[in-house]
Amino acid sequence: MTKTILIVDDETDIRLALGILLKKEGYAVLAAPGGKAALNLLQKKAVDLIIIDFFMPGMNGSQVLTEIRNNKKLKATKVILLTVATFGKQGEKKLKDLKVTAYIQKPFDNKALLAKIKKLLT
Amino acid sequence: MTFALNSEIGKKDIVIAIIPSANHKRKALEIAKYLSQRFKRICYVNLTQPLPSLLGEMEKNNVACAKFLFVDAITKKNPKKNQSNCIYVNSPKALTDLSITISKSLETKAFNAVLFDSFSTLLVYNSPQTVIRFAHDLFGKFRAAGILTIITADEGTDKSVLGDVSMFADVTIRVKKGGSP
Repeated sequence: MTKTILIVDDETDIRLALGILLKKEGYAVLAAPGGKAALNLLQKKAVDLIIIDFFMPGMNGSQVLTEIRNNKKLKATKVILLTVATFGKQGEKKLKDLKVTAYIQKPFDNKALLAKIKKLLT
Repeated sequence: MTFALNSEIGKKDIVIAIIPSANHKRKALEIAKYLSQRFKRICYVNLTQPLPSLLGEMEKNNVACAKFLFVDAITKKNPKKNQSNCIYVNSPKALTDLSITISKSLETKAFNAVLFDSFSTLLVYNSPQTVIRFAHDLFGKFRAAGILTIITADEGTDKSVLGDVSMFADVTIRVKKGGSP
């Protein structure tokens, strides 16, 4: 069965590039330009994995993740945090508490990202 | 002078010190004194008060000013009155200049600690989103330098912004009105 991945990133180029990459690999792709749009989308569509950027205007990645983990229907969803950010001890603890499934540093390597996604979705 | 850091805080940690707004100057001075008693070279990023006033307060409270290099974004440049141990930045709004000046200072001087006073000032001059990104960039520089960094923030600082920025730090402490955290 086709797995669905939601990309949440305010950068259009990243959403497009990631979308093309993931579709080529046979995944169904949804995209949202921000946290609120993503949460609205998740109310209507079920997804297998969410890829979230950390730095976004409005809600950042950690805030979106908090909402996801507080939602009964969504809380078990696997999440990859895609980020340029380097976190301190406090941030690492918070993300651990929020059960981030994996981190990918921007700029990311396509092969490494696909390998991580494949591992998470099999 | 009663400020003291918990012994569990590491010498390379990035610490956010939330201090009561009403006591800001006094508490920042206590932190400066604490650092001066433990470290040889300290970088003091001043965004809160004119340097002559800060230096006056430091001298009055026996804080060893000679141990500090000041990066000052509050005091207006005046070639006749400029301090030799100070690098002036035009404004707390000039984040690129501030970032470059701090970077260069960290690269060229052997500091053991940094006091950044205050994070809250940045929010007066810049948007929260800009400040969060700037803080991430700046904290990265402090982390790369591998030195104890204390960043002050007023109690009334936007909690959401502070929450985001604290993710790039190692410890957040609340400095009490009267004494140590």
